[in-house]
Amino acid sequence: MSQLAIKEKRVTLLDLVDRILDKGVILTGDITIAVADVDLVYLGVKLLLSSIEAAERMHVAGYASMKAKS
Amino acid sequence: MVAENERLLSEMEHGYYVYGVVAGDGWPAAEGPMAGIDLAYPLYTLSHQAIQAVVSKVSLREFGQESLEARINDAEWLTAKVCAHESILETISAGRAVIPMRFCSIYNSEGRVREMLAQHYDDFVANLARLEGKREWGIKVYFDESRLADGIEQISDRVKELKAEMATKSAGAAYILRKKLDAATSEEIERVSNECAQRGHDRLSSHAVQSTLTALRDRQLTGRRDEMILNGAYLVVEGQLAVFRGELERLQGDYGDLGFSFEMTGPWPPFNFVTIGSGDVA
Repeated sequence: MSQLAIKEKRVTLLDLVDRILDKGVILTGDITIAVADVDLVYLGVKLLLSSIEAAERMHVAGYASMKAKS
Repeated sequence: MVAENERLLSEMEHGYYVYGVVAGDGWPAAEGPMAGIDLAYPLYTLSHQAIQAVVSKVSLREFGQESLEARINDAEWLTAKVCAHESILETISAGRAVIPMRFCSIYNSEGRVREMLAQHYDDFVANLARLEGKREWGIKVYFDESRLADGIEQISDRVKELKAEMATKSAGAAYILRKKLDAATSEEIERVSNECAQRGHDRLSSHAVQSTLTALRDRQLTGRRDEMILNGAYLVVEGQLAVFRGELERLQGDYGDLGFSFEMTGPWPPFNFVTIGSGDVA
């Protein structure tokens, strides 16, 4: 094996959004959610998570202003 | 008062959220009550002949059509609910095949869920039989172009020859050769990266029952500096997993030093390998 190990993760957020919003059996439920643009939804989720991480670094004041922006 | 009455009335209205379909009857009796995606209601099952849907009630105030359309853009809500959907599916699929439903498949009544099971009964049974003892794994390959550019001379005779020729030339001639070398280097980088993606997918597929390519994601989405060149899903027999992992390690050995890195996720419910309704294999 080379010095780089294979990254093995249980799940990643990208895979999660990819599969759960975009794959799986779709039957005509009485109520369904149509995700027109999975990329856009994923970016929103990612932005949220990175703003939470940033908030943890920058404390509460920073979080409030970042939330207002996003 | 009117608003209060409306609120009470709407709280009485529920949908039936379907997570997945499994074989048998009465899951999850042995595991005790477990909360659904709407934490107020536990999971239970609705069966039809030899199959059952794992469901939970959801409040239509949160999961009604209009509410959902607004919430899909609420990243905080979406993240929590997508994670809940996945974690419930994971519990359902422990030790058995599951047909995973897409996020927010909601029916108006228990009767409507049973109708859905009856309508697609043969497909559910056939898919469950086919998926028994197999799990989905995701493999992503990323590639660092600058690292491959540094090492391309070692693997490309064409680049090696051009470099050797350049060393013997005058400055003017070397300039022309430099242009040629740059073009050859880009072409070779593209060739090697295509080859890694293609061979990687072929080699992994040879140890899988089924495989499929899914959308490549750009750097903005992956948040990585290197580029995604393969995003594959592989349906692997449980007993073959060690062999599948071994193949991935061999790929890492063959391509790792050239700037390619490999990421494996799973096991997933077989999201990419069900053929019922329009959620067919992509």
